[in-house]
Amino acid sequence: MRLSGVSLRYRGQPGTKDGVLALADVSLRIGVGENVGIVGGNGAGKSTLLRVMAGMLTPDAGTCDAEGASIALLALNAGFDAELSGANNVVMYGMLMGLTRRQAMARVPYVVEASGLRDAARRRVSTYSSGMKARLAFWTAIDLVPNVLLVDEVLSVGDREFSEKSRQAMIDRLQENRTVVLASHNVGFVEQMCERAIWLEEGRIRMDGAASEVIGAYKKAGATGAAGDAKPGANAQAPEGTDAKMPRELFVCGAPGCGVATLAALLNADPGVALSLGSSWELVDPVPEDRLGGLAGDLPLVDHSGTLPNGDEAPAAVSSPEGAATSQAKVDDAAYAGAVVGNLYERLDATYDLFPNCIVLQVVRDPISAVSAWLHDEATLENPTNDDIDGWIDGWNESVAIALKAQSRFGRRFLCVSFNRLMRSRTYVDLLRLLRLPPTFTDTARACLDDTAAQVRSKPDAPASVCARVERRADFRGYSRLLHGAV
Amino acid sequence: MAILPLMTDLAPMAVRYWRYTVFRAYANLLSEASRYRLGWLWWIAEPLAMTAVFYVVFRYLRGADENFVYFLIVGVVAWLWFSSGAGNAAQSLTNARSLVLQVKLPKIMFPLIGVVSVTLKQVFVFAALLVVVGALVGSSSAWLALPALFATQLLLIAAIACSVAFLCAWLPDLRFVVASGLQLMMFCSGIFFEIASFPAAMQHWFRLNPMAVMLEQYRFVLLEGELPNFHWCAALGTACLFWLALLNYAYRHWDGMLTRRIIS
Repeated sequence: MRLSGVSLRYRGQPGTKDGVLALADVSLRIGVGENVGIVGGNGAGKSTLLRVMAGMLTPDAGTCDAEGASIALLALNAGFDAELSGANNVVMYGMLMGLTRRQAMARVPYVVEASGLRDAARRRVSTYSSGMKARLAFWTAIDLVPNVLLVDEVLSVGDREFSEKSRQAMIDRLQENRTVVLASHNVGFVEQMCERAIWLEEGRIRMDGAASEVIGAYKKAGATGAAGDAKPGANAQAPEGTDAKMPRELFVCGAPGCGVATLAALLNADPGVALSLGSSWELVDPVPEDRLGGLAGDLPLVDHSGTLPNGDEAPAAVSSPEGAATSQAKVDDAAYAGAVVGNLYERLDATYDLFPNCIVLQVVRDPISAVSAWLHDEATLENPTNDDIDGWIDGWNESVAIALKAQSRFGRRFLCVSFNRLMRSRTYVDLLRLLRLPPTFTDTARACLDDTAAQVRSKPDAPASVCARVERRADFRGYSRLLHGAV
Repeated sequence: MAILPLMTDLAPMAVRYWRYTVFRAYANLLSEASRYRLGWLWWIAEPLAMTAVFYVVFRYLRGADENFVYFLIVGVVAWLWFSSGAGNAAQSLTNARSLVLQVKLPKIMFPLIGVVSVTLKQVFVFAALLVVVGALVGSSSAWLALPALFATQLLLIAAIACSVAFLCAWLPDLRFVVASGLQLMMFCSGIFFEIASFPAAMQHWFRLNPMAVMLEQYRFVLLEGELPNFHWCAALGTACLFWLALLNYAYRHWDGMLTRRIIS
């Protein structure tokens, strides 16, 4: 495959001449059987480049010659029709790839089994979470690929199990001597899988060469903030006179099913901005998938599942003896709870070290566990007073309001709710500094917590019931109203 | 001779895309039916209810002649097939955005999927119409010519739908023009009046609208037991096929432009 001087500009609003230059004078050649990784920040042009290679987009200038190769693009959603069931989408994709209807239908049980969707395959795709869509897309397309496979970020989405299974499937395909072009934020995986890497920045090739060299340079630039989200004008939106740098990346932490996708969708996040870290954080009970129905939308969240964004292994996760079935009873074990919280902080510290400009916000699906963990972690708060409890909730609601205020001021770049003491850390300080807000800045945020605080006071001496009240507030559907009300 | 290899390449592609189009239309209908408690029964109940409304309003409230009510119902049913087929096409390309970004497909498929969906539903509507007219007016051997009319109308809808989809993708503002145009066309198609009752000079102008003639033909066959004008059907069908071939070329030629318009 050969690209010569390819440039492509997306048009802006109708009637205007502005637009976004997605690719600028890109020239490259990919040989048969070569495995090439494409790295770069959000908006660098990775997906556009893959679409040009796949023939879906015609460049404004330059040429793209597939040299007779048949090409398939594997990306999130796989062009699914959200109104149809997962099974019907599998059939339709197969038919588009040249199978007869009978052949395509015969694949459905295999795809359903491999993707782990089971009964959900009969439901509409619009009710799927981001991870479910990614799983379906991957297993729908992976075995139908012709001789060139273009992979756009699919492997970075979903839980740890999917991630491991899909990586193994990818490794198998790579060993079949297929040409694979892999665009991903997960540079560790790119380095591991590809012998060559291309670093895109603002639509231009910044570096093209051996994967280890390119990834090394990219990581180095990432550590200084130069390889982050390269959307033009991002910094220009920071308030005048602020000394804080606009964060280049945003991380949302939480276990699978903790509601990261739902929350990000509720807040209308930019695709690719939110990342989920730490999928083996077992304090959190998974949310039944049907609770996420219809809310997660098409947002492709990136789940690094145990690796940090640069591909390094995250600090070891704490596992309970009972595995994923960890329950409230287990959380009452002080040592365990403390270890989990400590583990989370380790991860966050590591993330800060890697991305000094990022702001880390935490989503906690299960505040009962989180509060219990905190109770055990903070030796001085083993017997919390009403004021202590009020303070936690206070901080929680305030942080919501701050995040939303930030979102409204900076567009879609900030999201998410933080809970417990993280908000006393750098996140809180950074946000306040960026927004120039006083520590308790709105009456609205105060009003949001008054109701909860009043209920807390009525149950002064039982942390479990206190937590139960907080838990109710954490339901994201109900909570979304509170969030929007807080703005 | 050079056309032979071309045909052998294109024919399997066309068959593949046609199969996909039909399956997708079928899946869309199943999905639509699954949203309602009565499911596909609504496809029959809805036209029956609409027919009942027209019957009651014109027969009892307006005191119209019973023949006029049948005249009206035939016109409305045939018109609705056309208007829903052409009207849905306006958004068919923009609705296919996620698929357009994923798989390289001939974009003319998307309006055609809508036309096939509407047509499959229309089978139920026409079945209901035939039952009602057959029971109240009586059937005739001329009804055997109905497939010719159906085929002609299907080609006309496909040609208009593909044109509308192309134009609306190129310039989204045209969506509003299409909506108004369809309304204007409805009032000029002789749904509520008989074109033959106008002076000859005006009839000529009315009959420039193919749907006006189409409705007349349906009424000839269904209400008067006469055969349709086969020459007119053949001429219109051929013109539509020719137009569809031209459109197919336009869709392929401007594929890049269409993609950008759809995704931006």
